[in-house]
Amino acid sequence: MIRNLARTYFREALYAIPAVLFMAFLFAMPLLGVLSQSLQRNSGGGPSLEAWTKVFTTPLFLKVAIATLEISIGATLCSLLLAYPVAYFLAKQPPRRRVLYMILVLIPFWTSSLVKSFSLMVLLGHSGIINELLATVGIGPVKMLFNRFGVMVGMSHYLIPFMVFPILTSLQNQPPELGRAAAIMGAGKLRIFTRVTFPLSLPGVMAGALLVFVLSLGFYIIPALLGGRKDMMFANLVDFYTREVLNWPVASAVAVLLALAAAAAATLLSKVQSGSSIYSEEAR
Amino acid sequence: MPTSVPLSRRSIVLGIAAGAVAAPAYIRPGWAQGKRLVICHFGGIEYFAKRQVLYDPFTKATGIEIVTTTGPDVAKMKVQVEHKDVEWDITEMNDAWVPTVARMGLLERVDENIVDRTNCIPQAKNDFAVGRAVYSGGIAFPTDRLSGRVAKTWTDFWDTKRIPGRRGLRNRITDTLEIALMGDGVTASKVYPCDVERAFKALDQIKEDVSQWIAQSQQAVSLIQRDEADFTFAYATRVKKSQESNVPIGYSFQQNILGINYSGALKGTRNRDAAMRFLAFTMDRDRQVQLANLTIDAPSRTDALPLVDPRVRKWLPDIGNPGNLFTNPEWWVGRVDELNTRFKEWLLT
Repeated sequence: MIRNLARTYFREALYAIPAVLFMAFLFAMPLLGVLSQSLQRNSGGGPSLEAWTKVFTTPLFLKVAIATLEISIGATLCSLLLAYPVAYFLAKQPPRRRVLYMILVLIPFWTSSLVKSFSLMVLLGHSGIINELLATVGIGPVKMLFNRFGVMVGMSHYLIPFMVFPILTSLQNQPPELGRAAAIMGAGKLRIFTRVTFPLSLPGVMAGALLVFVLSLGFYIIPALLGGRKDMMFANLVDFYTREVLNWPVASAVAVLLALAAAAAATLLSKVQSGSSIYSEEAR
Repeated sequence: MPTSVPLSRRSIVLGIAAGAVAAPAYIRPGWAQGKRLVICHFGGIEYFAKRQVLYDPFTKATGIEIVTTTGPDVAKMKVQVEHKDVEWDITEMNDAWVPTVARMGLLERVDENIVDRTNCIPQAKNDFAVGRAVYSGGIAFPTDRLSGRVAKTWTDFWDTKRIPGRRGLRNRITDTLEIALMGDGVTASKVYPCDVERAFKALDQIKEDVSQWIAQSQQAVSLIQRDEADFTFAYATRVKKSQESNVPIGYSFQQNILGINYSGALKGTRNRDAAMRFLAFTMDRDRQVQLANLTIDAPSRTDALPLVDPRVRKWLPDIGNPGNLFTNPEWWVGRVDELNTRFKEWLLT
């Protein structure tokens, strides 16, 4: 019995070998390269903690880290607030129409973020379409560009699909009988949502939030184009040290920190996802 | 020296056909030796001008095919040279990179026996790179609003009381530091060595009037076009292009920041001689005149300037104007990291 199980386990593991090799050569090894690069002296010649000392003693890195976290958390919250209703609506649709709507959700992916940023400028600008409309009602102009608001709009626009799908999956996994049972027991629609549907969708929410958060950490072009002077991201520093001052140890150290933050979030993500699978087995 | 041959459609077709017939030869490495140059350039509309005035005529004159790729990048140069796997024989460079890149040993020394630079302006001469042209950056402004109250010099730009309006500067310290000093009243000839403290004090004064710290060159004109800013630091080429598409935008020639379009040969290129011959070709007087006519970058040869089309000449930066500042990348060596860090911290507070 145990032997059989071990054999199945082994056979299943075999299938993973190509993926493991792929990741080992094209992800893990370069990542180790980046790590070792961060421990080199920039002028060449031998290992050194010079890059890490610089990263931890220069106030700029801490300030940019805080801005990066603020922006990432903000973008995650905005995407969540906007994506949940979409996912909820999609879950209620008959399968065929749902597929059509899901394609609509994915459409923003077909445009590059550079093009999107420039078109958002046309929309949100000082004499942009929205402000012109507001002016006809006698409001404005409202400053929506080159500040945190612009960054949030641009980033959420890009990130919403990543939030919709995990939430949608967890909403669809909910057995419909639960809602019906609650209704039979006399719960109103709002109560069913707050006591049954929403709590059960939390694993999807967490998964989506972490996914979006990790993606936000690496954002770069959108904050540079739509943000103000304080909207600076860690990735901009990587670029600056890689291409402009050619201090690759410092660029690597910053990249390692970013990777660590993403890895920490991903670990949380895997915890949440295994939690969600336990719940769905229980429910069935 | 070859004079200009007007390009007819037929000659282009013939050229392409000849290229196609010849192409298989370049696959064989033996033949490829010295017969093919890879040039990395900045792209854009200027590429077509270079193809027409530099690359194709060079092939015609020497039989050396020119293959191009875009996106010069110091990091990529470093990787190619360090791994002894040089793909780009020649690359164009931002003037700010040249001293650092030369010190790092990423460039071949310019062979003065092949490249004749007797008529070259001193600012465009470097032991490791050839400066073909001079480009200019300056104040761009809208011509359809503000009713003529326009900042034309950097002191105007800093005088936000007399000339109100939203400003746009670059989100990097290079150029911005020099501009701040000129805004504070320093004359162009006194900018270097830069008084860093004075520059940051000047930046403090204008901080709240800068509505946008520009990340990409094309933003500088589009901000004015879309009424997001009134005065921005923009490149003349971009302003001219916008004017040609009827955007109401102007450009001040009173106080410009001048830079050099450099090219150099990567250290360890297998086609060093051919590369040097190409660099020499970029210093040819007639080539420079024709390129200036097409791109509005000023020739770096003093004897080429008077030959440029008079209609274009009004767009060329005036190298002799004492109000204009040639940026000095040498001053920046070893300072970019420290000052940019300070600048970014300053932006965040």
